[in-house]
Amino acid sequence: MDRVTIAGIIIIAVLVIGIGIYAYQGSIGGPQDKVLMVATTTSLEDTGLLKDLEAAFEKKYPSVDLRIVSGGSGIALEYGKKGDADIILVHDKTREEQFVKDGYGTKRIPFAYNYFWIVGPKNDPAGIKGLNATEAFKKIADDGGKNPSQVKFVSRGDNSGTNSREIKIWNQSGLNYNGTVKNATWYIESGKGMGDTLIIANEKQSYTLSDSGTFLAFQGNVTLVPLITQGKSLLNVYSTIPVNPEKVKGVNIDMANKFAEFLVSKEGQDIIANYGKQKYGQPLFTALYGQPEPT
Amino acid sequence: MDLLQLKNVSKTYNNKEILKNINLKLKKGENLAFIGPTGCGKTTLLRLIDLLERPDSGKIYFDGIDSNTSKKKQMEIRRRIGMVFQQPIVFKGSVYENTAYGLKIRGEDKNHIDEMVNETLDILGLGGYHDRNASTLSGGETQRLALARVIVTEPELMILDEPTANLDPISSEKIENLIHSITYKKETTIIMATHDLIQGQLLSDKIAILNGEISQIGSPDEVFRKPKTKFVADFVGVKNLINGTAKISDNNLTIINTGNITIYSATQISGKVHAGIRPEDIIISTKKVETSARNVLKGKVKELIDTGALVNLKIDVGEIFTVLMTRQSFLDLKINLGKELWIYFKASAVHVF
Amino acid sequence: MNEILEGIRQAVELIVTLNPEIVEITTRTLYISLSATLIASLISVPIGGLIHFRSFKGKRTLINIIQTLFSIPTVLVGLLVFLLISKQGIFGSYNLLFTPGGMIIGQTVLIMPIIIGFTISALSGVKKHINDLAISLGASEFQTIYTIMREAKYALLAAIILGFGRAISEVGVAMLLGGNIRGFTRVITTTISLETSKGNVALSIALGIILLAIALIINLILNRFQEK
Repeated sequence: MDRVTIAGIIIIAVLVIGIGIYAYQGSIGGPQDKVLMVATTTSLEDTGLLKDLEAAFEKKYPSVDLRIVSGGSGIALEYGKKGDADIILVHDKTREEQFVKDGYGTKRIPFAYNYFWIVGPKNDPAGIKGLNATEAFKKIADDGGKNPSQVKFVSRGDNSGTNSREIKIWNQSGLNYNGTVKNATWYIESGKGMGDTLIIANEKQSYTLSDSGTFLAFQGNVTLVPLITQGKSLLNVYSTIPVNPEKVKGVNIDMANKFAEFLVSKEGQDIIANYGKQKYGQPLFTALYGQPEPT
Repeated sequence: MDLLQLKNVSKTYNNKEILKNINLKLKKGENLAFIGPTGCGKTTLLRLIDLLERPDSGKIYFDGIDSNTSKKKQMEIRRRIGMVFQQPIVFKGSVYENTAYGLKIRGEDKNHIDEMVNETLDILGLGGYHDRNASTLSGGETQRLALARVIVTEPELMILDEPTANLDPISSEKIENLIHSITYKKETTIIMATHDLIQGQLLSDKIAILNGEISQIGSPDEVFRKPKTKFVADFVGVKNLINGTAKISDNNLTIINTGNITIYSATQISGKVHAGIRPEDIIISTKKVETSARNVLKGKVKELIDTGALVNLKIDVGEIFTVLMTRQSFLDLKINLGKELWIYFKASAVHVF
Repeated sequence: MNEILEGIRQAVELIVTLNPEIVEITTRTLYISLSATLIASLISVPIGGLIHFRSFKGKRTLINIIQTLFSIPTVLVGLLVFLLISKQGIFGSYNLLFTPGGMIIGQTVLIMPIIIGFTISALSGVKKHINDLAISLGASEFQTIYTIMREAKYALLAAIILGFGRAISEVGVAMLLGGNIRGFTRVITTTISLETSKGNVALSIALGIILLAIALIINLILNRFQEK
């Protein structure tokens, strides 16, 4: 056997052994009771809040491996239903309540809130500043219809919590979402997370609906400005729901409950309440500290 | 027991019958050459003998073993045979690796392989080539490598397909000498395919003229001097072929009348025949003389071809006869075009078929 | 333009100082893609050999299908494997979703057609006469196959490296099956995707440079072999 073949065999052997060792070291799933699968929204993930929460939680429970998957609220709920996640963190009250009602979740536990913001180009071409959310949306639709090159709206279009809220507001403003809005020329669906959507809106200098957390985190990267930041229809409550082990097989309910407890504990709430203060000048979230959620 | 036997072997490709009715027997030590024109099926036949292909009908026996047997047995047979292909190719690697291949797959140990390879490469004049990349060899060197690859396994039967077809005369001669010495030293039986009559004659005990079928098989002398068919005669270069009607006369000679001339042959035969007389068997004189030759014909020189040492004359005696003579004789007899000459040849030199 | 240059500058800094996050992501990327390539090769090369050396009805059609699968969208493979390994899928009980193991499975499935197809192509490139030569020198069936594979050595290696290239550079499978979990299933491509969408250009560029560097090194190794 010639040298090249021997060399090749040695390399493969080293690779196989190396892979074996690396794998054995728990890369491919350690004991399952030490793993907590969390499904959350990109709105939370993109702000970076979860990184801090994960670090603190794993410090408190050193043997636990917290694994966070993010997507739109829609997909997070699906992961919960399928059992691919043990606990979900989302911000869509209607769907959350349905989730619990259908038996997939044990309990809806709100833990923080902020507001959705309607953001847009500095020069506010549709002149929505000062209006409330529904009025603003109506104005954007009207002006967009007349002048689609100047007035545009970018939607996430991804079944996320933010997306759900956006559609709700369109419908509340008196427009028929599926009829007049969805297919309008001035209406753009990105199909992406909040961060990407803000970038697109920035490129196109258009309006969009964003959670305040992500916007603040992205402020440095875009020239869009917040135009409408208050109002009942913009209230954004984040809740956590452990997945119900009675309906969904294989849920690590023990760890899930511990995480939920952690989120509403003083330690967790402090982290949430202070997050972003230093970096962005203002905290990105308002922690509930046991108070009932605002309505 | 015969080393090799073929019974009624035939092979068809693409609806064309390449080989038909092949029958032959070969004893150990008996070297055979297949000679024939291009497309006569030489390569196909050699491939059949090496069990690279199966005959469509007929049987092949190697050392008494029927070739139509298990893959394992076939492999065992092939290991007793070595074949050098017409266009030799090399494995990727060095000359050493190529040469050692046969021994390696037979599981021989390294020392033995080293010994055999070194010895064989030396015999073939590839002594210092061990580490050379085999694909960098010249045509002649590659052919020698192909031979080395086969010789090193000491086969009982060696099959060579046009071993010198792509070589210059010097390399050809080298290889011919090598083959000759190998047969002698290692007692290998050789089957060779060639279109070179002289090469075939030099290296074999038996010659088979092949053209889809075996037209004739026998010793070189039989084939060259006593061709059995017109095709064979044509092919082996029997010139002076004539057709005519033969009649056995009194005094046991056969008279052949071509319509233009009459000649006498010692072969007893009658009816429509072909006859051939080798140019070397014909004598010339400028004046009629008494000789023991039965055939005496007069004619004129139609053509002269000077080939250096020999002169090739074509003489019209009613049929055109080709005659050879030395240049010296040519000058001595003062022969030129149109000159009237007498030609003589014995009745026994007239080969009838 | 400035942004890119600034990004490159920061990227070089991150690489040179062996930023722990970069090292972690790179190691994981190599682990996943090399494993997938190894497993896929061990399965695919023999399959390719089998298809090449045997004749059977529908061989041409099979090869056509394999070649079509070269361009199968990575997200489609990701989706199919996802359905199999999610908790509700057939293999749900193995907890493979959102783990590197699941990603390895996905990438293996993704690159198998490539390695099979190019193995067949590599073997076809070996002159038919080599087969005759080997047999006439007395090689058994197995020895002949081995000899032909040796003759096709470099083309076979190229097939495997092509598979590796596709595995390490794809996003669809890694994203769908891995979930891009920080510290667990993030690889170079999914991180580039995430960080770009967050506007962190420097990190993305750094990872991009590393990915290219890996590809370059592998190619240099292959070239070295081929020159011999």
